[in-house]
Amino acid sequence: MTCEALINRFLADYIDGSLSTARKADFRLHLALCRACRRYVASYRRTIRLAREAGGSVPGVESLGEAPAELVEAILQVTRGS
Amino acid sequence: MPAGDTCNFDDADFLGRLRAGDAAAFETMVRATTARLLATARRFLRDDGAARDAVQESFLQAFRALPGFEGSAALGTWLHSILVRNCLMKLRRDRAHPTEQILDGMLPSFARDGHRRNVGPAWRSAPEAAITDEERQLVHERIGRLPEDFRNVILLRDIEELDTRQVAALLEVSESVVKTRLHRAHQALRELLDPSLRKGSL
Repeated sequence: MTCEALINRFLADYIDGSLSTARKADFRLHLALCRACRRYVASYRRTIRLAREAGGSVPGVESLGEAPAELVEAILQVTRGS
Repeated sequence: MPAGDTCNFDDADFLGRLRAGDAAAFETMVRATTARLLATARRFLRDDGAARDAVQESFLQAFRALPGFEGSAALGTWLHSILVRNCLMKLRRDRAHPTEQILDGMLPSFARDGHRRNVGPAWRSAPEAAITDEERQLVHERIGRLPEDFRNVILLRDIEELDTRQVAALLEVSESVVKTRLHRAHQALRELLDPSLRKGSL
């Protein structure tokens, strides 16, 4: 398995857990031998984790701010009118 | 769906009042959810005016649909899905000539023999603690730099936490396209985060 195949073709399935047993063994062997790919996989995993954590709101941490008053008013006007 | 839309909307009494068209209940819902919906709309549309319009339109649709709302999804989730559909529709309308978008310069590069080129330093170690406000801002800013097709798939899968099947239906593409696009989007986002998260960067 080349770095390119590992990173472009198999990485997402590896993380999903959907690689075949044989492919998974190849994947891990390459990782064990290749520092460049280990670094890549670590930063790829961290990217996904950051993206997911950036979405979930942690109470008290995310500052959404107040909804703009004029927007809330506009919404309430429209529904009052219909 | 992100947590936080969990103001006690889903008790039967409140839902009953909403379905019956109770203005006070509707107002409570609007006041409690607008900020979050607006933040979501801005992420998709990247324009404050368009985001406000989408939120307003979504509440109007929700208001009309409420009498038939069966409560099979949580109310916050339902509102969110109306908004996301509206945002995607607006993006689709605005793109007169859909062309395949490319991630120029945002993907890993390899030597001809398939070996990785330009291996930079490792990322600085991640504390186990939750994401910081600074990192959250960084991640959203970088997601904003992705071409729309790739940005949308990250917003839907990672930020909105929809599953592959739901995203495929919303984007009107196959599940395998969603998976491939998400992988490319993660690779590109990794590339965009790299300078800020390397060891030794601030």
